[in-house]
Amino acid sequence: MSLLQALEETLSRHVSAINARVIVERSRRVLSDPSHLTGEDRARLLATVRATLRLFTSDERAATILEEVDRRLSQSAARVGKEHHTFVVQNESDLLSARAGARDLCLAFSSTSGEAQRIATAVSELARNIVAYTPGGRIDITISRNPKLSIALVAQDRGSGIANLEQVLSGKYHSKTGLGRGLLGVKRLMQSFRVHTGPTGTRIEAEVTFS
Amino acid sequence: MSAKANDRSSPNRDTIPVIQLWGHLLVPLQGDISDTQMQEVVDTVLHRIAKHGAEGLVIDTSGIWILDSHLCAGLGKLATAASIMGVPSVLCGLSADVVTTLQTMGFELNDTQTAVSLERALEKLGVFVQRRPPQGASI
Repeated sequence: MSLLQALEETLSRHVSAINARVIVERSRRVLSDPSHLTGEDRARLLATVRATLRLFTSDERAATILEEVDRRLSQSAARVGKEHHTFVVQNESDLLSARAGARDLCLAFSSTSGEAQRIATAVSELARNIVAYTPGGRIDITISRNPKLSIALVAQDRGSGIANLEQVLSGKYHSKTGLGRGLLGVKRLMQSFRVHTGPTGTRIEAEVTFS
Repeated sequence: MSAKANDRSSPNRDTIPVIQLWGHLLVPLQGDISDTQMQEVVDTVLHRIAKHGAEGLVIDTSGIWILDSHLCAGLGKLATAASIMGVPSVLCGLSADVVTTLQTMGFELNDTQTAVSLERALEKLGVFVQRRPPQGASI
């Protein structure tokens, strides 16, 4: 069943068929690609549904219906299986696209917004270390649902390695910009965390499975 | 997806507004804040304070979706810098997701005054609302 069909079905349970149709048609216009719901599309879609629902029903009821729509969207848009993305990281704008991409990927696999935010934050910290301290690198994200959601991050760079790794991970080291704390932050956000560092580069692997 | 990600990451994005509100300065942060935007807003706020003064500074974070260690440190520094200039500041609107992530990572905003909402933040800075019926309203 397509996304919009699922939306119409859910709405018809609460408002009249003609009203449901109106909401679906207005929603269709805000989607860039109805077969693939990105995080941004999802936010736009929900805003449209909310605004239109208010024409037909009370704010309170609209909120209840919206919650159901949100849940239904997660189910119908949820991807299963496994996906892999690579983000090349060299400058600040790469950092922004890596973390936004990580969030969209999590949401496409129907993570909660909190989980998506957590992964995006971890990616942001890893990418920032690459941008700040190395000539460049990449972050690989592997995401799978089976049926639990698992995310594996691998950050690799061509820098000169982390000399004071133990100190950084013990939490005793703080750079003035707060940069040193990022790595420890990633360790705490994820369940498993491994660092291989040497004079030719650093490789960080981190994984988490959400229940 | 890649085309969209590129749009979002274009480095030159909107400047964050600094709003004057009853003698206070209000900085509403929205979406995904880049380091460049953050640096700009720190400069703008500190210059505004130096030139025109302010009774207080409110940083509203209710619209942001990510707060990593760097941005967190940036917000803390802005608040501290304002207070060194004699302007009390309040950080407000941190979402539950953002707070959970910050806590998991072990970051604290101990030196920064916080409030749950913009209204509470303004109250903390001494702004109170007195309501009266709108003009021309029939009672």
